[in-house]
Parts: sequence; structure tokens; C-alpha cells
Amino acid sequence: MRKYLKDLTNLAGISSREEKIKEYIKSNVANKVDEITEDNMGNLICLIKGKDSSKKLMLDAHMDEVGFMITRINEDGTFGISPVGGVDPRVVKSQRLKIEEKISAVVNSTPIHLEKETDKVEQYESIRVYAGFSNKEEASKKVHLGDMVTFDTTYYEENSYAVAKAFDDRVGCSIMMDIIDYFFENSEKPLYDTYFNFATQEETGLRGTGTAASKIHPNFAIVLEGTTAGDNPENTPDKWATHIGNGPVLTFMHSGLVLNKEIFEKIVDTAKKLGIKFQYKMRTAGGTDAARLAKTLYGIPAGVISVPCRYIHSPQSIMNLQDYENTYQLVKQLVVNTPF
Amino acid sequence: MAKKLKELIKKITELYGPSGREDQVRDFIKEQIKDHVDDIKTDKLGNLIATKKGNSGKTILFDAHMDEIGVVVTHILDKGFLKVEQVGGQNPVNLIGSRLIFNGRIGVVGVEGESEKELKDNYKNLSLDNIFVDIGVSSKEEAEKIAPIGTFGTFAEGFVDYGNYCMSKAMDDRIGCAILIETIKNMKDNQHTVLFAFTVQEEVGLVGSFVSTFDYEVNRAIAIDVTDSLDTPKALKRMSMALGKGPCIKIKDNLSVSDREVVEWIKNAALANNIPYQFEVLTFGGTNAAGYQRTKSGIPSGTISIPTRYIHSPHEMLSYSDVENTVKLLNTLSKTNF
Amino acid sequence: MDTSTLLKNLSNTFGVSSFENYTFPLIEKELKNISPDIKLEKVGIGNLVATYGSESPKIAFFAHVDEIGIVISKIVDDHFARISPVGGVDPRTLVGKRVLFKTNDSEKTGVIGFLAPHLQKKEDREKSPSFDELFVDFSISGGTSSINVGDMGVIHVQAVELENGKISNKSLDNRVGAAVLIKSLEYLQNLKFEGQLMLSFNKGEEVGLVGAQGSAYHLKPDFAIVIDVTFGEKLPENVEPIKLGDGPVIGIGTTVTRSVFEELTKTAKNNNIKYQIETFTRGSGTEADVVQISSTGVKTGVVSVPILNMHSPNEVVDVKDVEESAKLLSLFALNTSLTWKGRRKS
Repeated sequence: MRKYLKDLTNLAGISSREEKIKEYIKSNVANKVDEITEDNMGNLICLIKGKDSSKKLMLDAHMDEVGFMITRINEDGTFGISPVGGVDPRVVKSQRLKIEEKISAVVNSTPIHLEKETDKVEQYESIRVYAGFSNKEEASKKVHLGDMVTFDTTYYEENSYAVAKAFDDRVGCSIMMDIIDYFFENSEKPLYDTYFNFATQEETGLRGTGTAASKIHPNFAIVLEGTTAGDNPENTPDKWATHIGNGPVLTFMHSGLVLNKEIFEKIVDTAKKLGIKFQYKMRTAGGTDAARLAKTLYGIPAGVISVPCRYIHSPQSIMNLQDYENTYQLVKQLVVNTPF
Repeated sequence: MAKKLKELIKKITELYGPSGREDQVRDFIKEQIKDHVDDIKTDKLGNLIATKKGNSGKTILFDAHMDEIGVVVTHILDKGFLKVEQVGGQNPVNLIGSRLIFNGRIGVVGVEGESEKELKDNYKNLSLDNIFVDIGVSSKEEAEKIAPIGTFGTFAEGFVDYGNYCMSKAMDDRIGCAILIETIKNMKDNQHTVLFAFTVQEEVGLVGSFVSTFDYEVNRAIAIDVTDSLDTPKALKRMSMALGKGPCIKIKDNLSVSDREVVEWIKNAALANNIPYQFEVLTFGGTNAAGYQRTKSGIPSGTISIPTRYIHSPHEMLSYSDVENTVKLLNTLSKTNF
Repeated sequence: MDTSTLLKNLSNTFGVSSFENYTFPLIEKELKNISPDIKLEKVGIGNLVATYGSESPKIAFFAHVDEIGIVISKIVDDHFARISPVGGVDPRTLVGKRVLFKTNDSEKTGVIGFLAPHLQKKEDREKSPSFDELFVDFSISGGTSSINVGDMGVIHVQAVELENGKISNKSLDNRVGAAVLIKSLEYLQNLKFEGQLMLSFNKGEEVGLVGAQGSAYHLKPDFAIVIDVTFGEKLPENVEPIKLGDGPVIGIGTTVTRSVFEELTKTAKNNNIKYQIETFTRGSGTEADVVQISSTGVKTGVVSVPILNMHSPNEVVDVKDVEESAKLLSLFALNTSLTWKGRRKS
């Protein structure tokens, strides 16, 4: 278990540029599933046939991460960038970046001696990215408008914690790959025909999942996410949303949707039966692909299960490995033999 | 008709049914209409869709949403006080001094503030972050039994009959549901096949309307919902809707512009049958018509609204005559060509 | 019809969202002139779809025909009415303008009035009125008796030619797109295109991209290109500026399918069409945002024509950009059809 998480988070793939993630997943699941397809939105759909083919379950995790795009090449060879997905400009100050996973770059930062106002937020309009080029012509040879820019950081784990970028939502992708491995290694079958959808473009408006579901026509879906944990000393417990170490996060409502009650309760019951620690999401802000699924076809009912992560949408997101394990166990149990 | 219809409005507005928890409303409606329609079904999302067959070869749809706004418990504090978040568009000002109900238990709202200044400031800038709900318990354990995290609450205010005007919580949009029920019961000789869609989760994002027509081919869709009424002192001056002047034919709101042919069709039906009507331009808000426009190939859509004062408060007030006229108008539309 | 006349005629028609039916006849006539046996139909909420050729690949070009405008929201008295915007209208563009309203079968002129500066308090003179302070004065056309809540209007201007092949008018957003679609059909007729081209002229873009969504679902094309206008002016400091006269603008980023972007740029390069690139990091703000994700998904690209002064009565376009965009689209259709049939060396 957790064989792929490190690689998955180290790879770069902003919304609409998920191809590297997809290739990695494809190469690791190719011989373990009954069918692999890609759709026009770039979703990767892997089917494992179940014992009972009368129903279809869709598991969904998105491959894309938040990041940036080159949106201007300046005369002096520096670059202007714009966020793809929600990245707070305060997190961008003096970071290390990678352009198209190849070219190293830094975010310029005016020295404190020259800018005394340290509470001033540097906005995207004025953020300049420097990769060593001395003019526009030179820069344009290697870097193009629309090129992908991501945080330059690597996965690290110690004891029961891990830190990396992009846990949102490579952690969901990783759990799905682990479950595919489980079925493969144990020559087992899920209860229903199970479609693992590795989705595109979640961070830019829940765009990928709907087209995949339109093809699959699932009876129900479970969305796996990395979700925000606000358990830090600057926040009171009632505003934590989730707490790392307290197990998988179960959602009854989020932005744009109250989740299907039966599925929610089934997930809660399953977690209780397994005797694992779990928690409820204590804020309703933010949405997941479940909101898109509810408006797709006949209204696909879905549940949402998340791994709590501190500092998501930043290069340093922290996760508890026990939470990962418990989430995996819960999802596995739901797929293996929980009737819906 | 008046007494029975008012009785229906009282019953249906007093039911508990926040977004995603519309079961009681759905069961009630099903019971009311089951003997009067040709077909009735509930879809995966929880929308209730009833059919009355016609022979014009065309299908029209009337929509009313079953859900009401509310709050949901997201945290339980040490002494059993609840922290809540909104379900649908909830102005915290409306919560202060109102009764809420959680699983049958009444709750009231208090405001946080550790200094007089903070308390004053919090009253000025009320938000769900600086208020709490008191359900009359003395411990966290007791609260967890009555209203665990994930419990949905609604306003608890009941129906008031002023004669011509009526008032209750959840007129938005149970009045639409009541109008559809009454329309179904009175409908005779409809030419068009009429679908009645009682939809879920409108208040959190028009969810139900995106999928309620999945199994049907619909030529025209009309949402029946409430709209603001500007006949109160110093009301918003750019709009003209008023209680008692008839159903509103919506031209636009923030989420949709009505199909012009649908607008003309409704207007002509009203004119031909001496039903009073008003045109409506709402400078904010939205209805399920926006969902129907975006369904499949796109359904030409419009909205007929009931002017209502104090929408999204526990006291939504409207004119009974507008309700009756809307029932008449919908019946007329079921046999008006297009 | 030459491009310049076409642009002027199209932008002179009245077509506020939900009133597109005044614009459609001109488009229909022009399409019939170019291709007498072209198939015309209304789809979904009333989008006009023209189909040329047959079988596969199915290529669809999308352009919205609706324009922003204003709507009567309240009749104040015999002379005055209050208004609301339809689409993204800057209230400052309305001050001191003559406006034209469509009522039942007729037209009515009004003037957007405001309190004379001499009569205003000093502090109010510093800011421009919002919709709450604006009103239409119908005294010039007989008062408000024949006006209803819901009547829609536009700023009353006609197209004007500027120097160096520029045209200015209201509603170039997006009659420019409609003109590109019409012209692309004209060019395509002279090419050896083997496939089906569908031109979707859509309603309701300015009020939530409503029309294109239904058309895309209905047509289920193999490839889609959305044609709209974009800002031909100075943008925020971190975004590459786009210039009038520098050619069609090809979109890259979210909501655009990369293979379609690549095909468009390749086509432009191979045919010496000068082009510019626009980056989409959120939505594109065009119909591509809904077309790409309709049903099981559509491979979608965006080609924009740069204009100045967007959402004002003085939008400006360079006619050359319109023609080059139409050329690019027709060649894209040709190449895509040849590749599809395996008759093109890549």
C-alpha cells in the first residue's frame, strides 16, 4: 500500500495538463484491470468487473493539481504567471517553481531593505518569475505562453506524517491505485462493476467528471478527495473543518449539494463496523465532483470521502499516514462487499 | 376552493424539508396527487415527477421545488451549544429571535462576544461564525443525542391567515408545490401532456432541475416560484412587483432570461382568460428555469412567480388571490396552443 | 457581401439576449446566398444551426449572436422608466446616450437622463451613477404609455468606418463571430472539404452561455471551435497583451483541448496566417466553457477576434482580423476532414 503516492505527488499536472499523471497511472494499472478508456476530456476510466454486473459503481479522484500557467513573457526575459485553480498569491512569494517540469525558476522578491511594508500582499499582476533568461527572445526559445508551472518540491515522510504538494487529489488517485492492486494481488473481484475514474480539470470548476459519468452511466459514485484541515493554533476547534489524525472525513453537505443520505449513512455504518476512526467535515464551503455528478444524466447519487490535509493548495501539504490507511480500508470495504 | 386550498398551504408550508431532506414533503405531495395523475415516479436525486397525459403531441413542464432553506449542525461546543452553517441563502439577521427546529427540538440563536465592543460589533456584522444555537440542553452529550453533527434545522414558524394575505415559513417554494397540487386536482381537458416536477435542492444550486427531465422530451418548461414584492415602504425602487396584482411573468433575473416565445404564450393565455398578470424583472436571484435551459439540448423556459414579501425570512407573506390566479393560469396553459 | 458591409449590417441589427430573432433573418439570407442548399434549423432554445456537407467528421463552429442591452424594470410615471442590465453592462457607458427599445411590433426612442452636474452635491459629482440612479426619459417619443416592464433596448448607434480598415459599433461582440462563421463557409466552398460543417449561431451567451450548451449536446460534433471576441488592449501586467490587426487569437489552457490548439496553430503557420495566443487559466469566458464538457465531452478550441472597448457602443474591430480568422477556420475544417479520411500527410 501507498506504493504510488510519492511518485504521484512529485509529478506535475495542472488542470488540462494531466497527461504525465495519466501515463504514470496507466502504466501501473494496465494489466490489472479489465478495460481502460480515455474520453474527450482526458479522463482515464479503468473498469474492474464485479461479481454482480447489474450495478455500476464509479470511484472518482481527480488527477489535476493547482498551479500556474505562463501568461506573459516580458522584455527582460522574466515571466508573468496566473494561477490555475485557487492559489493564494501570498503562498507564491519567493517560491521555487518548475516550468514544464524541466526549467527551474524562482519567484522574484523585492528585498526587505527596499520594501519595508511586510504586510503588503504581492499580487499576480506584479509577481515576476525568473529562470535566468536575459531577454524575451532568449526566453521565447524555451518557454511558451500557456506552459505549465508547478511548485518545485518533493515528497518526504517521517514517522506517521508525509509532506508534499498536490495531496489534493493525488491522495485520491493513490488510494484508487492501491485498491486496483488489492484486487489484482488477491485475485478478488469487487461487488459491482467498478469504474475507477481518474478525472481531469476538477480545480477549474469540476469539469472532467461529468463527461466520464455520461459515458459510464453509474448507479452511484464515491468521490475521493484530499480536503482541508484547519487544526492549527491560529484557529479555534469549531472552525477546524477537519483534524489530521482523526481518520477519513465524511461529508454530508458541501457547496452546491446536500449529499445523498443513504450513501452517506452507509459510509458511516461501514466505518463504524470496521472500527476505524472517522470524522465529519465541519464546514460546508468548497465543493467536489459530487456536485457535478448530481447534475449529470439522471442525477448520479454520490458519497464523498476525504483524507484530511493541512495547507492544501500550497507546496507543503501535510498528511497523516494513519488517515491514509484508514481511508483506504474504508473505501476498500465499500468496494469489496458493501451492497448499495 | 379557498378554505381547502388554504388548509393545504398551511399543511405543506409547516412540513419540515430543508434541501436534501425533502422526504416528508415528497410523501405528502404523493399522497395528495396520486389519484389524479396518469403516472408518478421519484428519480435518483429525489425529484417527484407526475404526468397528466394530453393529446397535442407536445409536453410542457411545471416545476416547483420542495426544499426550503435551513441550517446544518457542523460542530457541538462543550456545553451543548451548536454551531451551524447555512443550507441555501440564509441571512443570519433572520435567525436572531427566530425559532428553529432540529429533529423536533426547538432551538434559538445567541450571539457571541467577550467584550461589549465585540458583542456590538458582532451584532452589526452578524455571520454564522459569530452566532450559536441553543437547544436547551446542559451538556455536549445531550446535544449529540438530539442534534448530532449533520442534523438539518429549519425555521419553525407556522402559517398565518390574514384573509387575503397569508404568511408562513417556506412559502418559498411550498406555495409553488401547493399551486401544482391544486392545478393537478382541477385539471381537465388538458391538451398538452403536462409534467409536474417537484424538485429537490433548488436552494443550494438548482440541482434537481438539471436532471428531472432526463427521461422525458419537454417542449416548454416553467418554474413556479416566489419573487420579491416591492410594495413595502422604501423598497428597492427599480422593480415593480406587488402583492395581489396577479402572477408575475418573469422576463429576467440574475440566472436566466426567459424565452420570449414562452413569455408571449403565457401573456396571451392570461389576456384571453382575463387573468391579471404582471411582468417581472428581478435584479437578483434565480429559479429552476436556469436549470431547464441547460438540460440536454436546452428547453425553452420561463418562470411564473408569486410576489412575496420577506423571502428567506421565517415570515414569507403573499396574496392568496395571486395563488388562485396562478392555478387558473397554469390550467389555461395546459390547453393553450404554441 | 464584402466583410465590411456584412459586419456593419450584422452589428446594426437588434439582438439583445432573448431577442435574437431580429438578427437571425439576415444570417439566414447570407448563408443561403453563399450556399443555396444549406440546411437551416432551430435547435434547443432556438439557436440557428446551418449544416453544410454530410457524414464525418462532424465539425461545429459556434458563435453567439446575442448582444448586451438594457431592460425596463419599472415604469415610474408618464415620462420615466427604470432599467436593469441584460448581460454585463457598465452603467457609465449609458450616461447621456440615446436608446432604442423594442416594444410590441414597434420601436421607441428614449434618452438616458441624469441629474445635471450643476444640481448635484459636490461629493456626488465625483462618482458615476449606478443603475439605481439611472433612468430612461421617453418624453421624446410620446411617453411611457406603450412601454412595458420587460421591453428591451440598446444604445442607439449605427456602424461607422474608421481609418485603416477599422469598424466601430455596438454588438461587435459577437456579430464579429457571426461574420467569421459566414465567411468561413464562403471560403470553405472553394476547398475540397469532405465532411460535415455545422455553424451554430447561439442565443443567450451574455446571460450565461445558455444556447451553446444545448447546441453542443444536440449536434455532438467530433470537433468544435468557438468564435468570440477578446480584449485587443492592455491587460493586467502579468498577461501578454493582444493587438488589433495582428490576426486571429488562438486560445490555450483550461477549457481548450490541446490537440485542437495545436492543429489550429499548425494550420495558421502552414498557411502564413499571422496569429496571436491567449492563455486561459480560469474559464475562457466563452462558450467553450460549456461546449467542451457537454455530454461525453467535445474536443474544443477557441479562436477570438480582438476588439477594443468591449461592452460599449464603440467596440472596434479590424476587418482584416475577421477575414483571417475565417480563413483559419475554413482551413482547419479542411485539414481536419483530410486527416480524418487519412488523406493528409501530417
